[in-house]
Amino acid sequence: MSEGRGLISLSADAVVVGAGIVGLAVAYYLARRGLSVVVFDKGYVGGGSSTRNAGRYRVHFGNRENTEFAIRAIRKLESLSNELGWNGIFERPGYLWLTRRKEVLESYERLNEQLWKPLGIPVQILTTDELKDRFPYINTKGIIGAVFGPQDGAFHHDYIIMGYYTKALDLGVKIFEFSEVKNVGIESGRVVSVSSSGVFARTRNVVFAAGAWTGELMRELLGIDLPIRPVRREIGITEPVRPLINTYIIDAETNLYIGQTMRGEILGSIELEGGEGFLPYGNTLSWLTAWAREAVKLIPSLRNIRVMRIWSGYYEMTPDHSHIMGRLDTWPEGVYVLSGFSGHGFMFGPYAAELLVKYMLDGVVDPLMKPFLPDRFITGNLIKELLVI
Amino acid sequence: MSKRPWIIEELNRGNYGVMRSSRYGETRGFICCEWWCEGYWASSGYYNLCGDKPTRPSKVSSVPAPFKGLASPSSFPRSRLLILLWPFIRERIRSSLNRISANELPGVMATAVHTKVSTDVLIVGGGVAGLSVAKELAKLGFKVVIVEGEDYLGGHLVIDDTEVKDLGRGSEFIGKLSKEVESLVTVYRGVIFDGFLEDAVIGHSRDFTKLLIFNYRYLVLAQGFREVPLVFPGNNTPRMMTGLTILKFVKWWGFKPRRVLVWGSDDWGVRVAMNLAQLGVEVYLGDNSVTIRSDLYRDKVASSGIRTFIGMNIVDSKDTGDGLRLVLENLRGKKAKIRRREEVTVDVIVSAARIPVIDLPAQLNAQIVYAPEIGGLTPRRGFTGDLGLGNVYVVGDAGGLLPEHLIVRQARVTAMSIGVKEGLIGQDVLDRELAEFKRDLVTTNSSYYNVILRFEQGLQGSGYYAEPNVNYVPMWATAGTVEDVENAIKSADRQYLCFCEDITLRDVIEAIKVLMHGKEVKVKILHGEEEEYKSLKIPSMERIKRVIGLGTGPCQGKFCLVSTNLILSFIYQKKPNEIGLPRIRFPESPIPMGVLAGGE
Repeated sequence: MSEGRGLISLSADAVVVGAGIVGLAVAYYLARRGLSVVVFDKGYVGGGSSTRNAGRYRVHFGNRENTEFAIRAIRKLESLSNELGWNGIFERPGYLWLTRRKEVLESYERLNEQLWKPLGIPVQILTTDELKDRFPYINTKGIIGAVFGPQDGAFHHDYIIMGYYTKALDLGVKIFEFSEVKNVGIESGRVVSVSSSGVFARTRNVVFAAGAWTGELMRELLGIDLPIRPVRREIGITEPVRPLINTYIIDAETNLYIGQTMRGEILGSIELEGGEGFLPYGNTLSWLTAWAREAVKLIPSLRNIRVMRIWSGYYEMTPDHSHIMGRLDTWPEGVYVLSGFSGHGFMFGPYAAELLVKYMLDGVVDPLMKPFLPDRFITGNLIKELLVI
Repeated sequence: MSKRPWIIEELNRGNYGVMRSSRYGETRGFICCEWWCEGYWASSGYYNLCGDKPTRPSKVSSVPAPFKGLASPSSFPRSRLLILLWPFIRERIRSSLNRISANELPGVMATAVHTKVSTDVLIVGGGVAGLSVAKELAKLGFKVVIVEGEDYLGGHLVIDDTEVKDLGRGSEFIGKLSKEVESLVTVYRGVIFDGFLEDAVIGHSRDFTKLLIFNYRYLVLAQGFREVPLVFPGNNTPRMMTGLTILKFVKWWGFKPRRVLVWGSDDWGVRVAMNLAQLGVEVYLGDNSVTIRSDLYRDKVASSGIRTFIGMNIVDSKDTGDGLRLVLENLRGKKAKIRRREEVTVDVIVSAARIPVIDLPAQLNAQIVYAPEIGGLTPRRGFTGDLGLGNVYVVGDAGGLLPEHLIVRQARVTAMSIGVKEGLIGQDVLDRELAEFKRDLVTTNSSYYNVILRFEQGLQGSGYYAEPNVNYVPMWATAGTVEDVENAIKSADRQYLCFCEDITLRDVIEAIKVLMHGKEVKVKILHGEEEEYKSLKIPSMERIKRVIGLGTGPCQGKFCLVSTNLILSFIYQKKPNEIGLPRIRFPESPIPMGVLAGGE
């Protein structure tokens, strides 16, 4: 019906909705398997959450499913510089969780014994003396101990996005920017076309990888209700200074996080309540002052460093803070989803994309993928958070 | 006038290389002693550069020449060799960037206060536009607050001792106006207006003792113009400065250059040259326009003893120690058959190529439009300066470059327009004033009138009036005509666009090539009538920014974004809005964490 309305008409083996890290990775791995792929994005490449994040990854999660996934996902992520030919600027300064309450520290210790150690990624539990020794710039007042994950690290999101972008183009993937998906054509229970503003694509497969917009989009286009909701978070960066902060610090009590980039900028935020919905990409003074106040309290030498730029972006939250990948039999044939990463889409995206492609083309549900299938919202078998803060 | 800056001693001793760049560690000395340059200094660890006691990094490093290519913003992320060596060299690279260490930074008072400032009208900028609006508004009984980044009022006219059309000697006129206005309104000097958050509008004092939270009913943006670095081969020379800066240096602090080339021949450029000539400096005036751009002051150049290089490009430059030796050639435009080549050695090259300061309208997401008649990228607005956002006006050069006597008129229109909204004066009074303003616009230069009329009626980019292609870029001193582009690109790796991150025109062209997936953009093809040219889409600045970091330095793109947009539009013959600008983000100038945190 909508055929011919678009300016460009083409056919492809698969259409990917979203040109962020997840969508580009899916497109690339599909193309590497010989499929012709078209990507639509309502904005520009990487313009959603992919280039608005802090650029950090961690292996430690509060449950087995995500931790096991993370171990593999990080291995994949760290290999991307070679695979893509763009330097991901990887480094492993680790994550440092500061705790101010005994129960929290005990909870971390329990998790370490029961989950992380058995999986081969133990964290180090630090006393305040050890903390002072290794991170002398931290004001330890009120801190009773810390958890240090040495495997955790940092990357440069722009370069990885560019890597996937150029690799995908190399394989003939067609990427349409500023081309919002308007309709998914269904005939006898299966996908036959996807049309966007400007392009009509005949296809039998569509992957929704639209980040925070996935929930809304699938509801509008297909009537599929997935619990993915956007939450706006603010973030800021300072002028560059010589290396000062040699890890990524998270204050488990105040929800402050702070680190330093390769270029020397101090990057961080404080997570406040609220922010639900597609709020505009703005910033608030209440957040800015709260961030500065807590940051200066924790690291007094930040006092003289100047905030250069602030911005905001969306988390794509699901009820169990875990991503959704695959499909349901009740959906039209050919519809897949890879979204809802709840704040770790960049670190999980590349590996998740590989697993999804395997699932789409070979019908294989990898054991690591299984817990993240969308059926968990029907069976109620959600992923349980074991870390109680 | 503040204390004699440290920098003057250095310059008079012949040491122009007062800064090192952050990435390559080369001497970098675009010298700019104005509030908006603080971010640029900070990019490589310099603070209060124009104060009497600057802070400088104790340690500087530089990239050895053979590795400079690898380190360039465009090849660094893609070098196979660097990817291979990355785990072993990353710490080395991290510590080799020229930054200051946190404990060397100038201290911020532990008692920074957060102050609320409430007013009827807040005016950003205390130059001729801001002061004129303030005066008119005060007459109407409004409570007015002016925020000025410098520690003096008057903007560029403060230092201008030439005769300004209709106003008399610039410095005298503005001195009188400043005094008058100061007795009528509240003035915050040395305060930077940072911009707009969802729950507040804030600024901070440059001495970092205060964070100001503004509350106003009307906002008038009057930030004027900004002289941006000239782009030519070897423009990483430490001998370039802005016109405003050199006049302050010479008149206030005893800087003694012998020979100066002022580049940019609009009203301001000519007057900068005339000011210097009055003081006995040997002055050259250069521009790659076919004639002196200024209609108002063109005739005065010859009688001022100024030698001109009009209709010429700077095709090469080299610091000889004794000065900067520039090689100039005439434009290659179709009619130019005779080849004129000149060499001149000067102590300083002055950039008088100026752009309207559009940061704040851009932060507000006001529409930014290309209008070559009034200085390039300007916010779309009506005759009254109304940005169409409810209560925000832009007046003076910030809304498009206009001669000062018209700015004074425009200011009255803006003030009266606010007066009408508040019911203080009748519409008929405003209408009369508007009519006079329009008449003055038309009689001075009818294209000023036409462009604002288009803005007011929303016709820019419509069928009635399509945005033109870029015909010239005042700050690109190497390509005066489209015919010159090909030649200019040959030295693109020596033409710096971004001074915070050492990004050259070559880096930008490389980034475009990557984003276009290797499709080589041949200028020759683009300027032909081929179908390929018409369908070719150049990647947006937003994407270019994410490949090479253009505009991500602490100056937040104040030096590079507009210039780059115009240069790219010129090279590829595209409309500037097709390439766009990256989103301009808060704050206008970096604010220390300690100031944001406030005192206990």
